[in-house]
Amino acid sequence: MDHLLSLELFGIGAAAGAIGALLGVGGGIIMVPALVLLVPLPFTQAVGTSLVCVVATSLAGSAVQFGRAGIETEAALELQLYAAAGAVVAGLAAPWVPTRMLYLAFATLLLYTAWRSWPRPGAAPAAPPVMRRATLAGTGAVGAGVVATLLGVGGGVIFTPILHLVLGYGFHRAAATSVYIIGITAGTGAVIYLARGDVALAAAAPAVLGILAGSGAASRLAHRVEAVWLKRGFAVVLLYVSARMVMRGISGD
Amino acid sequence: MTDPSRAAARVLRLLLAAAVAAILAGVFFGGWFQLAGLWTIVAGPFVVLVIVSAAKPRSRWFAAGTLALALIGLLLAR
Repeated sequence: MDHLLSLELFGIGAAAGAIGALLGVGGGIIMVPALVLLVPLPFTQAVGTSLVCVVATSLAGSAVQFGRAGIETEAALELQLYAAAGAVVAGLAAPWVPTRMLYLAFATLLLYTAWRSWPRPGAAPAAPPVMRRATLAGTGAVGAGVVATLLGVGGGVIFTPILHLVLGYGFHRAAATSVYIIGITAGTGAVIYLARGDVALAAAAPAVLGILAGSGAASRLAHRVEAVWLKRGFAVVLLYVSARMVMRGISGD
Repeated sequence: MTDPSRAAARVLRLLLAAAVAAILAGVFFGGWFQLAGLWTIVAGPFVVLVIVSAAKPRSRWFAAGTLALALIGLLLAR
């Protein structure tokens, strides 16, 4: 891999790490398209490489949040078990899932994330009844594990709503806990992809270094950036990347 | 007794430093160092899982289940 591409991956990793640290997500929604479209890697290798990057984002964020005691460890440990179950099944099944379907599924996830990210005024959705919360949270965590491992993302876009809307934690605490949970979810998937040789070392190394640099800088700058503008810019990027992935899914390249 | 969250934060910082050192060493000494650095990163969340669950009896079962699932995945993938 040439030096210019390594530098580009470092920069993309830094952007993914910064967005991950600011929004409580793993950055896989940036890494997978970048690895597929830029390097270019086959989708399965891009997913494996991205999962390692997501773990790096989670570790950098968790190191800060554990220091501030901002993580709900009991809820995290319970949800991680369900998510790991989904991740193992999806990781083992991934080679047999059609690539074209994965592109379109990923584009759908990006569109959903863009819709969720766009800031809008109005009341938050009502929380479900207490008796349904545990079932909803557990089922959602299994689904998040499957989606995360098949698509190379952390699942933060699913875990944060589970913790905030279903289990009733405050948004900041939910985002911090989600950052830790995605480390185990992505880590379980990454172990499988690494063991199978589906991680591109030359691409992962500069991206991981970029992620650690980006998330570290973003953690220090977070309070200076208005969240509304950040979320709007993020949603626009997601829409663009989603359109590229749909085109790729339809053409089947 | 040390607070598990603070212990986890310290261990995470050490693991990240070790992983960065290994990945940078890989630039000069070859891919094995990079592979070691990436495995260090992937192992990080599981090390933290053991640390934070150690002080909570109920959580230990969830942590043990998660570790068992990851191990099953690793064995089946190989």
